[in-house]
Amino acid sequence: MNSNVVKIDKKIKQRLCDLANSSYPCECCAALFTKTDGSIDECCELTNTSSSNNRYSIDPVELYECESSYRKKGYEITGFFHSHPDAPAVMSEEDEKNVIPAMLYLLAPVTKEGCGRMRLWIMDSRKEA
Amino acid sequence: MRVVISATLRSFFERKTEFQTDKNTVSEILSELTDSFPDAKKGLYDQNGDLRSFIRIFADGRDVTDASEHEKTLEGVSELLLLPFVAGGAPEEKLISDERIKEISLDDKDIDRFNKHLLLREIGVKGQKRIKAAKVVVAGAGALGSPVIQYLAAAGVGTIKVIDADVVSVGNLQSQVIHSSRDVKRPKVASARDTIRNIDRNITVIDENQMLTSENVLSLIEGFDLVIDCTDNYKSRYMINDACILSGIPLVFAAIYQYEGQVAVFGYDDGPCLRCLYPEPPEPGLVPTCAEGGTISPLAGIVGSIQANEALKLIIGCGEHLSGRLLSIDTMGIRSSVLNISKKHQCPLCGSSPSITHPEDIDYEDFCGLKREEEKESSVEGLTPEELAHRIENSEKLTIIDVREPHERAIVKFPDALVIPIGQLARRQKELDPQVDTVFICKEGKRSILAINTLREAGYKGPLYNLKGGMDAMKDIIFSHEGGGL
Repeated sequence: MNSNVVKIDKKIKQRLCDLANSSYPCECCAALFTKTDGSIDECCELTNTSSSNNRYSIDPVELYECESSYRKKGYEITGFFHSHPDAPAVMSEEDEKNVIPAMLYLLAPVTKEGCGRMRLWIMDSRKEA
Repeated sequence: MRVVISATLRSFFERKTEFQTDKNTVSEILSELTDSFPDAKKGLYDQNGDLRSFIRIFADGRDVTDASEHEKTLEGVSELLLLPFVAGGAPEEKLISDERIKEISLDDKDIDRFNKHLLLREIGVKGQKRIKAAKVVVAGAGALGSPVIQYLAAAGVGTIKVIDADVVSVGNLQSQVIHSSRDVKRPKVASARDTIRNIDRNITVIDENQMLTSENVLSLIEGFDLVIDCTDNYKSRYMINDACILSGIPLVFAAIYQYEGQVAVFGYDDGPCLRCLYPEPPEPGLVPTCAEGGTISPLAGIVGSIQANEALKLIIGCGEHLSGRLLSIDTMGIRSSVLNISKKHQCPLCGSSPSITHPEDIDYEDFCGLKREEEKESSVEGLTPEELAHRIENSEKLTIIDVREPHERAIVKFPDALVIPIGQLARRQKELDPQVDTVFICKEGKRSILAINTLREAGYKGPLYNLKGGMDAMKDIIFSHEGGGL
């Protein structure tokens, strides 16, 4: 498998899309999981603890509980998903400040018309999903 | 005590997520971890040695991330958690703030006129209001300025300032479609203003019929949201770039040459600037100006339209921008490519310790060969076309050196001229006879001055003359052996 390609399960992509749409105009966030080969095969919605429409933050303890419960089912956390309401799917300054190396960041641009083409980012390089 | 590390941080700890430790303060445990795992130090701490902003430490559920907790003894604690704080958000910065568009309204005529914009979901009423609120400077009403000004006007940009010191000439009409035959000899800004008014009388047009200088550039762009560089020379490009970065105004840059064009967005959202790409303008004589190199007629339309499109996307706040990227288009091969430009810490303008703090007044004109020959009279001896013609007619012994590019020579050849590119002059100076007068010719009599100075610097002692006004000025000379003409 080409290491520059990260696969995402179609159903998971649809779930994330729905989540982005239903949260609009607020940002939403989720953790992304892989079974074995690095592809995104599972996701788990997380509470956005930020009160602002165009910010998200995840409670570290909630995230830890989530990754622990999925680990028991054989999943490993591989990255994060969040939406950018009315903004392009590029890493913002705020995003970059908190980026964890080697984690995947999947971004969905979303408007009131729906969720646009998602893009996947990993520290310092860009990949298409 | 058990130390548990979130799997998100596993890359720093060789993929391990759990350890036992007998240490009992946070700082001891952290140094134990960084000692055991070389990657952990880089992952947990920033360059200043501070814990990275996304790290959180919990002792049995209590947040002990703050440095003041690190030396305290962790009594009775059974589990220390090392977790990430994941946060971020959509980019917030908008060129035209929501506050400003509150004061803008669209009337029925606007709804009719901009219907095609209102249909686009990324633009809509909100986007059209942003366009109407926008104040844009277009530097240069020439080839690139023609499509830029007309599309910005058609799109409904509320305030457009056009800066250009030139008047329209017949030769401009091949690519500068904002002007027409009737405008020849009129200031370009006057012609541009009329065109904008013909498109939409509601647009506020400010025409500045003056040269951009290091003294006036800052005040000319002050209070505007965006600057579009449609100039054709390095002096202006660097001056505009510097002024935009110093004023914090984003810049849409473009350049065209023959069949190729480049577009980039500079100084937007902490992105790079022109000097991150090229810290200094190119060496004199290396790059012929657009005026000397020529361009195919629609090229400016293609490149300028992309510039206008980038400008509108920046104003609306949609799409992806050419910030940090340089688009190159080759219309001959019908190919395009995008080159990534990274922001340079050592950039003399927007880097961490900039050396440029005000618009520079380097004598670009001098080394770009733009300076009028009168000003250089003292250093270079010149011949008028009439004097040269007279000496040729009298069969005086002369060496004539043509320093023009091959495509220029293809238009008009100079009979019996020796062709030597400027770059080869120094080493080929032996081909010249110091006992014989040598005359240098080019298209406009500018690069030939450069050629003479180059040769002098290389130590050539013989007499050197410049053909004033170049081949362009020779057009009116008719040699008697050519039959007298009309």
